[in-house]
This record gives sequence, C-alpha cells and structure tokens, in this order.
Amino acid sequence: MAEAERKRLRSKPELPEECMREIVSRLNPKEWCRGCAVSQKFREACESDENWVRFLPPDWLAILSRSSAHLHFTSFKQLYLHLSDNPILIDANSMVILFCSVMFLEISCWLLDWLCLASKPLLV
Amino acid sequence: MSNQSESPNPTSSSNKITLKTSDNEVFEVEEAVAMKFCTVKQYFDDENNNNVTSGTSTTLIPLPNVESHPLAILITYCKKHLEIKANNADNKKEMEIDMEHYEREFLKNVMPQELTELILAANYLNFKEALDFFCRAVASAIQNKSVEYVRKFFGLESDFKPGEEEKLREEFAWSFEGVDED
Repeated sequence: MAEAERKRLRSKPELPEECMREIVSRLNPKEWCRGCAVSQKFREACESDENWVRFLPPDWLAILSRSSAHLHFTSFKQLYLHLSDNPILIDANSMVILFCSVMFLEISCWLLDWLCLASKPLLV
Repeated sequence: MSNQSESPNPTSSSNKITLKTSDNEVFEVEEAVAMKFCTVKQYFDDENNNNVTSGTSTTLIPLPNVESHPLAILITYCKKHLEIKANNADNKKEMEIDMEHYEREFLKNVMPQELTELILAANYLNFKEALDFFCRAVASAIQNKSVEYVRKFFGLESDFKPGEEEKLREEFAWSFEGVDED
C-alpha cells in the first residue's frame, strides 16, 4: 500500500460494510430508526431483518398464527413497528396481547396491560 | 532476589512467531497469542503444511493490511485476554468479571478514532473476541447520539435523494427525541 494511501486511511479510516453491520447489530430498535437517516449504507444495516428479528419473540410465527389479525409485512422492522403501534390480541378468550415497545426495548408484552393499548410509544 | 536465568518466565519457552506489519515493524509474539488471530493461524498452518520438512521456527508472517500501532494494542489485548482466561479456567463468571473490568480500563486509554482502526485490524486478523469487544465499544459510543455525530464518527456523508432524509426524520421523529448533545 502506498504511503499516501496509508496516511489517508490513518486520517479517516473507513469501515467495511461487514464491520458497520457488526456495530449496528449491537444497537437497538430506537437507534436503528434514527440511524436510517445517517446514510444509505448505514440505513441498510439498520434495516436488516437479522437485527430486528432478535427483538421479536423467538416463536413469533406461532404466536401470530394464534391471532385473528391479518398482518402483512415485508420486513421484521415493519412487523416490529406495526406491533408497537398496534398491539394484537392472541388467543381471544385468554386475552393475551403481543406488543413491542420501541421506546422501552421490550421484546414483547404477554400480559393484558391496558397501558399497552395506548398504542403510541410513550415518550419519556 | 534470584536472577533472571533462575526464574524464567514460564511462557518464554513457547514458540515465537514473527509478524511484520505494513509499516515494516516486526513483532515477535508467542504462538498462543498469534493463534488467536485466525488469519495468522491460517497462514501458519498453510506454511507448515507446505514445508513439513523445513523444521524452522523462524516463521515470518507478513501483515500487509495491518499497521504497527493497532497491532501492538491488539497483542496487548490478546495477552491479557489469554491471561484472564488462564487465571479463571474453572470459573466462567469470574472470568467475565475480570474481562469486563479490563475492558473498561482499556477503553479509558483509547480514542474513538483509534477504535475504527482497531476494528479494521481485528477484522483483517479475524480476531473474533477483539472484534466483538471493539464493535460493542463503538456501538455504545454512538448510542443515543445524533445523526450528525454518527456521520462524523464514521466519516460518512448524507447520500440521500433530496427530501428523503427529511422524510425519514419525520417518519421516525420519536426516535430523535432525547438524544445526547453532540
């Protein structure tokens, strides 16, 4: 590598995409939503399904199938954000609600909690 | 006090491996340390397979993508990592506590700019534990920071189409609430 190139790198090392992804994966939904506005590459990392799915319950598919809600989503980000705005009722007779909170980083809320029904994330 | 020859460092007898950085610095490291760098290990194994008969212990491994500054830091980190692991071989919890303590201290002496350099080096060397640690450190450095701060940190520029960024900021306005001052 040429000396000039090394100097340039030293002054402003640019991270390869895989490293950027590694870093971004260690953030959380709120950071990912804001991070979308950083740059195209950063946005891609922030929208990765791999990241968002970690914030859903591991058996999300089985849970959703117990709900009468018809959810259409093309990414886990979309699903997560939808659930944080619109809690869904699962097992109608036992009144369990699935809810994701982007503000409090809760994975899901299983209890029937009327606060959850104030659908909009509560701003601290 | 005994002299040095009577109390040899227990690790001094292990094999040494020589690493040569892009700025032509030479580092002699213990095999155990060098083997944590998967890229080095791969090179070392390949060399050994190719020269079964050579029997020399003067392996010199060139690292054309790593400079001496980050390498020196990575070696120190690696040594400490191995030491903590060895000291707590039968107690994972203790090991984690020691490691966390060391990592906290470590970060006090590292500039944010250096972290990027360290990630690049750890990524090239495929040194997983260090890469994980530095990525966690950067993630916590940019956590709850403004978009502008993150751009500056990574040397990124906004490359959105006109109006696109504003739309994103509007859509996720709530995620911009309460971020730290730059």
